[in-house]
Amino acid sequence: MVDILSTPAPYILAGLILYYLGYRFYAKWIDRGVWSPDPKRPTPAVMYMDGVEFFPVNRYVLYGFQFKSVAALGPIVGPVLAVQYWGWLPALLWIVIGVIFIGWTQDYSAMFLSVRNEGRSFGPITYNLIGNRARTILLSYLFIYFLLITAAFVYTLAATVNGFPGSFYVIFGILISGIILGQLVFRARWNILYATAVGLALVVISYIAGYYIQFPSSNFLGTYGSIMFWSIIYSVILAIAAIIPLPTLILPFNYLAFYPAIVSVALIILSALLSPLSGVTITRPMFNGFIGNIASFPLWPMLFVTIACGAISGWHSLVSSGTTSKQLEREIDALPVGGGAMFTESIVALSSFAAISVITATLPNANGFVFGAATLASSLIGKQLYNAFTLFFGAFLLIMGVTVESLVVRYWRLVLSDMVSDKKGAIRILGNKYISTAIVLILALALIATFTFDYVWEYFGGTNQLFAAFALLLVAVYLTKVRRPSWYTLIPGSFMILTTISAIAYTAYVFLMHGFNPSKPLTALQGLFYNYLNSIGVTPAPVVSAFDIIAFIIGITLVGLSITMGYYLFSSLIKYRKERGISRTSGNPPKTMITNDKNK
Amino acid sequence: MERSLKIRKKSNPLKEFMYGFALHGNVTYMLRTRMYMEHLFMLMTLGDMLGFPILPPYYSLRLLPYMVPNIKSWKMRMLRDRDFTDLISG
Repeated sequence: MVDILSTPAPYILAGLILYYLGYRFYAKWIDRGVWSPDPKRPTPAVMYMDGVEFFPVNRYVLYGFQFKSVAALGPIVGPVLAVQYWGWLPALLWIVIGVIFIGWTQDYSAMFLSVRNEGRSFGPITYNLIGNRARTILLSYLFIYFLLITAAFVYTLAATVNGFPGSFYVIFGILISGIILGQLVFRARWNILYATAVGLALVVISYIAGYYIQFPSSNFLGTYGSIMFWSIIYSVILAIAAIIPLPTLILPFNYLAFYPAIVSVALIILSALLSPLSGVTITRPMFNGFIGNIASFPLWPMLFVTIACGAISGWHSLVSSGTTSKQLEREIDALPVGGGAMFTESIVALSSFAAISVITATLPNANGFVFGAATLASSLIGKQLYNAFTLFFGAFLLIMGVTVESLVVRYWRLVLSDMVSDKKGAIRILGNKYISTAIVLILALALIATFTFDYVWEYFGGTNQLFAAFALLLVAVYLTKVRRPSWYTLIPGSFMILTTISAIAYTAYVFLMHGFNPSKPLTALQGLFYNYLNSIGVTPAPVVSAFDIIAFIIGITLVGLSITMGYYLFSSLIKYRKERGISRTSGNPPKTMITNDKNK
Repeated sequence: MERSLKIRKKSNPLKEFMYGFALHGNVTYMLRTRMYMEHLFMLMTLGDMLGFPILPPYYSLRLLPYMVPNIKSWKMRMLRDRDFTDLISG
């Protein structure tokens, strides 16, 4: 019998209990005390019901939708990297504390902010509360944010396929199955049940094919060449997915992918909770020290951006205010939908934590998650199934990446098209869907090519968390304006903006320093890039230096945009406080309910 | 009857969660596409009044009874301040 405390089970269980307590007490307290939802007050979904954009939807449906929309690679890869850098305890603490005090508040408050502003999304709300410049900065920021997500996720997808060759056939098979399902449903008008049965049968065949076809093998072009090869293959797939109409590929693919994805999440959680029975123990150190052991990252501020969506994510506020708020049936549903989905997503982060903590290998990608999840599941069900589980969880990673990334590339081209739509001259050509898609993927490939994934991930995590800080502070501005307590978003928002700007500035600084002295690679991973350049007869130093300077410029641009946006947010906050004569961020809320600003 | 209603109420959350997870995003996207198609249709038929004579007035008038119920929501949608962040649905 293993020592229970040496298995992941008690920590996962403790996390789940703390989530319950956080939701039951803190979240409900904030819900009642700050936003005071009224089930009788009509939401935008009811008030502006048009049956196409605004329409009330049952809370359970919205909860499922919100959860699906916010769960992607972030909560999986983030904990994997953080546990490897600093040990499992800091990662676990931030996942749990971050979600309870910051993560859910952002998702929930962004949703409520939109509900109380006639269902407007973040852009128009920013315009209303702060001004046009702030909105422009926000959109410019999104532009870089989507690029960084693409670079981080495409690398992760490529590294996963390279590690588990059969998984490509699974994801490719599911994509083809999705196309067939789409044709059956939309063209042949089949009943969805029959079409789903055919689609799932094809998915099963894809898994079987992936299990037996292990071609090409891992590192068939060397590690560097193979990962770049798969990155290009995925870029092509994402380009096709981003250009063709959603019902042709992405919608049916997402639908079919739901089935293996939900089974994977449930299986990991169950395996982690039953680890005392299966005898799987934590093999990682509890704490590796203040400076990370792969890349030289100080725990503060880097831990808080590395874990990314596992604790808090700016992406969630975009979903909360963009779509979900327009379909919220009653105000009292905001907490279970917005807050509840975030708590649930964090369970995915806990599962990732459990998976990585039970293996000893340290890898510069998310493959440790696959090995760990396969170890947990096979120890519970049957060790002879280990290889099958590596394929299953490898495919799960790919599913989570492709479902969101295909949309991100599409959004990027929409942002670019929006930005150049009112321009004159040749620059308008950037709005062309083929050109804009090609630009984002080529830029992402350039970032991947330097093999500085650890640092690109920090940029991605930093922008993601910084967007969350913007969302929290925007909510604080609104709450101050309508004379409600704003401390519960102001304090986390201030902490996050300080932490994330520091993290991005630190990463940019590292790139700059390395750009001046590129004789040695930043990490062992980048050593592969050096080896590759040497093998083709190119001196690495000038090439790496040029890439470092570009990466530095990206970082410093982000810092500049963030400081400007922070300035606008805090100055608006001060302005509204002065206007309303509020001397403290907290106080007794007025007894009257908040109404739309027009009624004030 | 009451018992069956109770059973239905108990079994619904899981079913609805599954629907929300698997299909609601697709439905939302379809409806949004329909919204944009409706915008075009309204512009074609009511274009005359807005200064875009796309359809001959005869056909616009023939279609008018079908358009009238949608005018209010169409106007509301067209006048809404919206930007790129409205599109994001994950």
